[in-house]
Amino acid sequence: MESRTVRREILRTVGSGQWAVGSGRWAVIAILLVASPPAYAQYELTGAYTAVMHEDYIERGPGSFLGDFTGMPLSDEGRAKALLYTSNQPSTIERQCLAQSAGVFQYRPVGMRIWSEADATGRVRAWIIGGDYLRGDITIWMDGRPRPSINARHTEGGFATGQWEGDTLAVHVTHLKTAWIRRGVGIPASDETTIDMYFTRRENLLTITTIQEDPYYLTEPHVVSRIFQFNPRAGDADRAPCNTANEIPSLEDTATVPHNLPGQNPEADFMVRTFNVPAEAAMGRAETLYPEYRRTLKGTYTLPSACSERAPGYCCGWIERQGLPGGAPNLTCNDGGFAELGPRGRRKPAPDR
Amino acid sequence: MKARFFAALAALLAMGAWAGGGVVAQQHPADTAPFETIQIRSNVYVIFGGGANVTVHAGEDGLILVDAGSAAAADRVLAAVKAISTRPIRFIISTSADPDHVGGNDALAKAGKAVNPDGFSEEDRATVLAHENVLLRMSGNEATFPSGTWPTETFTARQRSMYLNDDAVQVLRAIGAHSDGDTIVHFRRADVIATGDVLDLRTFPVIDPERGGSIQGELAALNRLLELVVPAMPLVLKPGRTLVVPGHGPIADYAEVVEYRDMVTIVTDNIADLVKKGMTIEQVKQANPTAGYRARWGRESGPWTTDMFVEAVYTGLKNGPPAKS
Repeated sequence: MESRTVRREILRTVGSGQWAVGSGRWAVIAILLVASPPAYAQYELTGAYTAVMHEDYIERGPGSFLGDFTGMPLSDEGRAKALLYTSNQPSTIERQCLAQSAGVFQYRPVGMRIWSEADATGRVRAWIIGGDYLRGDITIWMDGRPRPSINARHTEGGFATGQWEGDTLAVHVTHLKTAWIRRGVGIPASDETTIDMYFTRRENLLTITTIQEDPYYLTEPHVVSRIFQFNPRAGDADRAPCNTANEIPSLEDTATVPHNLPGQNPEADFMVRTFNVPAEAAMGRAETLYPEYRRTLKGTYTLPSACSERAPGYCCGWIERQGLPGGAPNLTCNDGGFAELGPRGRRKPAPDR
Repeated sequence: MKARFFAALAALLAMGAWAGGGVVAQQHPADTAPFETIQIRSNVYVIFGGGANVTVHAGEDGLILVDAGSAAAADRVLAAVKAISTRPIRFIISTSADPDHVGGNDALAKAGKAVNPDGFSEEDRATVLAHENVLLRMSGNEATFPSGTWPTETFTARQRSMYLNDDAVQVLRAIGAHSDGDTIVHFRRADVIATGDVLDLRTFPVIDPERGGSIQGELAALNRLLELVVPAMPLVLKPGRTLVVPGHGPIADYAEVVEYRDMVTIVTDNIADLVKKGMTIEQVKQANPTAGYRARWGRESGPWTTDMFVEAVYTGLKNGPPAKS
């Protein structure tokens, strides 16, 4: 799908709330607002937000499985690089504190703080999407400053400029570092990737839509939409410093870079052997992103019989399995461990002693 | 009239489709870096687009340059240097004998003044400092470099240190990586490292076995670089960190060096596995051991192609690194 079509659709559906009115006079006003927003138009975004964990729980919570590239329009090069990945890579001393993608908030259970900086006249000069120990701050310049040249340093949060389109803050980010798009599975983005971000707040809900493009690793724009909830009790989101530890002692001072050899990734068929997902969908081919693809599966796809030891965690995720908070509410699971969980998917509190 | 309009429109659309289409070989942005100067520290600047990147360290003692760009761009580089400071150029440190690094040596040295003038020369000019192998390459029988571009001061030790502009300047030997004359320059107070072509953020590293380069030396140099470059840690959200000026490509830091080192290591491991299986160079190339990195770092034509890189790695793994001179 063309990225321009995607952008138009985003602004139409989640953008200006007036669109919901539908027709007649309000619709005309809405069109005028979207078409020519006044320079000072803006919606208040300041605050702390938490991830809404019942939405896309697996990706936001425990994270995808190794070998799961579903939903990604990967190029052959992108797929090849992703299959070289092992989960030992981010465990190397060199990579433990390297920031993840600027758009990785779409794939984490962690929220964010947003605030603005004003110039001497009180006008918002920049919005800042606060980072944390694994994601850089994104400073969204609203003052029309020019984009730096291609010789400028790329940063964790990139160079971002924004403008209001109705009540949606539309952001374009360039000058990003090479990073993995999703957490922990090796789906790559290059240092020439760009991300368009759309921030739309309605009451206490903040919808963030990201459209990532990459000239080397993606064949189409990668579109993700997630919802965050305003949470005044979130306080300062986790902005903790990062320290390294020797997670793989055998690699210390060896200059070894862990990776799979081409064609030897043991998880390349994980989604096929575990969930009967067709290989082309598991390996992230663009044609499998669209609803039309489901028709091709009709009559051929068989559901896995049940979550089992062989297919662990797809229902409830490893966080709950480890007894940690953060599982998806109201999620049911039949892998045995879930029977201990409470009615909202939480473990029952231990009795007072 | 209408027909001509639509014909013109169709032509424009066709051009647009051609420019944006995926069938046309992609031009990498870094191949067309604009000529410009970027200040990266209060007293350190980088001049881009005049051949190799030129690092300029300014201070009360004058200017220290790392590389001088190409001969063709010498006038523009000199003008850019003068726009930074009117103080004299004292040193030009050549990180290799490549024409795009040393071509401007003569013009820039002439515009400078050595800290310690050469008693045997009537001309007062900046010192050109390099590893001895750079001079040997440039002054050899088959070399075509004018004598004015040659290094006037050489060293062979692991490092050559100076204290200028209130900064500790270390010229570190990294020979046997890109060539047999490689050096890395570390400005310790400014916390800037100029890497020469050990780090080329446009392409796979240019390893020239004919001139003493080797994959083993390249990996050793990149791993040494990782020991010198300090990341933003533990306060990862702060901007403070070591800045890295590659031989070509944008300003970088620890993250780019890690990615590049990992890329070179992984591709080398892939080729080593194929060598172990007894494959010939043609079979190795056919197996595409750079898959996953080829689109970003490779070139299918030009002076340094993916095949040439694969051949250099293959040769290095089969024969071992060249003997150190």
